[in-house]
Amino acid sequence: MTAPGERDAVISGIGQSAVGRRLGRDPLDLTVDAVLAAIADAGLEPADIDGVATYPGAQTQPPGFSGVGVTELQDALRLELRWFAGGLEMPAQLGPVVLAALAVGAGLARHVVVFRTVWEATAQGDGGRASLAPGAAHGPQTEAARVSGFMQWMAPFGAPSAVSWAAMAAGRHFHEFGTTREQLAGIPMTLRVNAARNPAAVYRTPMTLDDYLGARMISTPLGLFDCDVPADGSTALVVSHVDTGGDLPQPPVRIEAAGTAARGRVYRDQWDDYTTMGLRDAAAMLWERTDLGPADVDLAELYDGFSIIALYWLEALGFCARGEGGAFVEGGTRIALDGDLPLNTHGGQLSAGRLHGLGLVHEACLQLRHEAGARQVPGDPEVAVVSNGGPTGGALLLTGWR
Amino acid sequence: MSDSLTGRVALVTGASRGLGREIALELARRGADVAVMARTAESAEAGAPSVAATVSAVEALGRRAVAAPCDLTDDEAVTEQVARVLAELGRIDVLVNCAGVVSLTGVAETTVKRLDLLWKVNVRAPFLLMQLALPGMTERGSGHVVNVGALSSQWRGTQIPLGFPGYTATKAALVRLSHASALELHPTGVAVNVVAPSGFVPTQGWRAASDDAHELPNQEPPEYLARTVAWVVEQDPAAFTGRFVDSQGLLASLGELDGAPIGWDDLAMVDVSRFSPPTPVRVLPELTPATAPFWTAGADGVLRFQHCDDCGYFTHPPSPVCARCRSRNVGFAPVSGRGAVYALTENHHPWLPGWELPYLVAAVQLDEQDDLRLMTNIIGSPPDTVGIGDRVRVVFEHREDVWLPLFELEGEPA
Repeated sequence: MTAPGERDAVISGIGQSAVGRRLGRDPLDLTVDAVLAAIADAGLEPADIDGVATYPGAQTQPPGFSGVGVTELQDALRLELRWFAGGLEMPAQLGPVVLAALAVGAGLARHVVVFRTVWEATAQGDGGRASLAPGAAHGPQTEAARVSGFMQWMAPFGAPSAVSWAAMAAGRHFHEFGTTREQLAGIPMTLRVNAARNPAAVYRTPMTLDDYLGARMISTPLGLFDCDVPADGSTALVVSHVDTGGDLPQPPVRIEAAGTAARGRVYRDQWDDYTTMGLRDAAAMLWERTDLGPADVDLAELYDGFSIIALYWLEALGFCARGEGGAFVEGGTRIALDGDLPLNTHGGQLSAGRLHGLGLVHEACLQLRHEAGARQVPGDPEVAVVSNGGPTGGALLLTGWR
Repeated sequence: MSDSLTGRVALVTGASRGLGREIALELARRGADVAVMARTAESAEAGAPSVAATVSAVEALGRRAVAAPCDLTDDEAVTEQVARVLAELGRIDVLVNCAGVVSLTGVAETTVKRLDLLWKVNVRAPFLLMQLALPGMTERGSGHVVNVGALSSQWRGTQIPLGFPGYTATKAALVRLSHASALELHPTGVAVNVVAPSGFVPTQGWRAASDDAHELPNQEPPEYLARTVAWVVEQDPAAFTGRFVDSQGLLASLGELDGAPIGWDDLAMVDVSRFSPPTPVRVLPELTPATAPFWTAGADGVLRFQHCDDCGYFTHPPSPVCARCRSRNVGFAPVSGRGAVYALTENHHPWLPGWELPYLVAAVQLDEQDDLRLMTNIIGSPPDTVGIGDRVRVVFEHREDVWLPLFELEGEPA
């Protein structure tokens, strides 16, 4: 087998804007902060950037979900682009990272800026509903509100939010495998401990099991702390050709493998198996493209839009057997910073803020560069797995430069 | 003649003449029995306005009428007359405070004695009458209080060349009295609204108080306000309260007014949606040729899915091709509408206005095919009594052009 094409690319720079609740800043303003930081981190100038890729592209709904596309950034920085891409239908938020890797591998571009910007906390600060899935009706609802596309199969039943299908999936997992809320609590509680070591995290105060169980129920069995916290912030990466690596001031992060598959049914109301969702396909494909395996992984930055999704990724990526995710995360020992598989080391989206995918990539790079400060995983980690999305999604295996 | 108000009893003040008489007769024409309250019990002159004359006119329309003559500044007399009305007609469903004193005078010419009279008749009497009429209304959980205001009491009254601070202040007080009462009484089912003529109504009361200088443009006949009052009391009091309704605006919006309408201003004073739960919002699917057969299948009570005429496989959501054999020979075929709960969540978050929480969102596995599933709601049972694996059957909820397939527990199998 020839080496997978994604190994032609490295992540040469990372950058992040301020992150917080209700920053009240324009999304492009945040984006420029993150992008210029990432370019500087890579030791490059804006003039060196010849590609841009982003998820989900500019769109106005749901409020704060995007707000910046390729066009806005290209024009703001007057970038001279040879290649660009922006959109929603990709292997989740990792889609543009994979596309950027392919673009530099194919020679369409040499240094691609990848970014993801959210400002949901500010956009929803007027009391607007939180985090309805794209395509749902927003604002004042009337009987005349109509939906189309996949949303038509959910919104008429009072289920316009992602939590409805995530909760049904969780309930199915609980039903089939005896998973409990007390077990699931291991994820949000451990992530909160990590967040305490991350000055930029949104929630940093310790959370007890009683806090978790006592929080407002959203949709059984998922309570408030099973849902990630809307935030404002932008994350940017520079994806460069691997042959630039030695010339750059920072040791870049290698892309060992990508998993991008969607094989089962992907409609959110139609998964063939609610206890795996569609993300199992991306996870399986990841291991098809590398000689490394789950045992080689030093840390995991797994998508946690809902706690249950991170649990599904743990199972799908083979860190534990199917159905045993509850026992794996129970008590948090295994997934703690000093555990066998440190998980979401900055606090994840559940505590650090919903930067929607790329925040997890940013954290994996910091860890592999051994620059994570107070939350640095001990033992000089070399291999990190990152996943984005769920129900369908993408996964990346990242390694340090050495 | 209509019968929209048949069986209801209205007490109308100032009903011996002018606007009050028009209102009393309009309510009677729509079926109401009327208590006629005014100061002039009888008139020596045949055909001159009086309580008795209005009583006769109501009776001529085939309705019961009771004379309730009194001076509205006399609390005892008012109380006595209301008791008599209740004794004779059994109830008061509608109270129309139409009687009013007009003073077309400025600050200097308005004596404080006159101001006291304005207050007593225009504000104090409506308040007392509302107090007296209220017990029966709240007991029945339904009632209408309609107070006749004036456009000059609204801010937009500044567009009308009226000053008359004494008169205007009492009408403004009546509006705010109505507003506050509507807020308080809404939970009891009693509505309090204000109506006002959109223009100058040349009644005797105005003529007596006015001179040529106060002949205003935009005159309107008294029947406009009478029809407005009748329309207001035809509304569901739980849904229509705290409003300020101007006659021409309403009639224009009802298509009953020729000529240029003034327009139906949103003069709502009270947002009743804050008090009464709105109709649950169902976000409905946009119907397309591909999806309409599914969403409208329930019109005859039968759930249908896209079905392959070649291999017999059901495909959902509908698409132009069989998902199993890729045949394009697809249509819609009925299913039993029976199945089992595959996955379930009890939603506690108010995603949509008006939904009673918690409610169940479920994936139902239809009996016909092991991958034929539908996201839906389980209704008709307490949420905590439904579980994965429970047998369910379809029930349709019809909204607009959509029949939403919902499910309920099947109960004991036959």
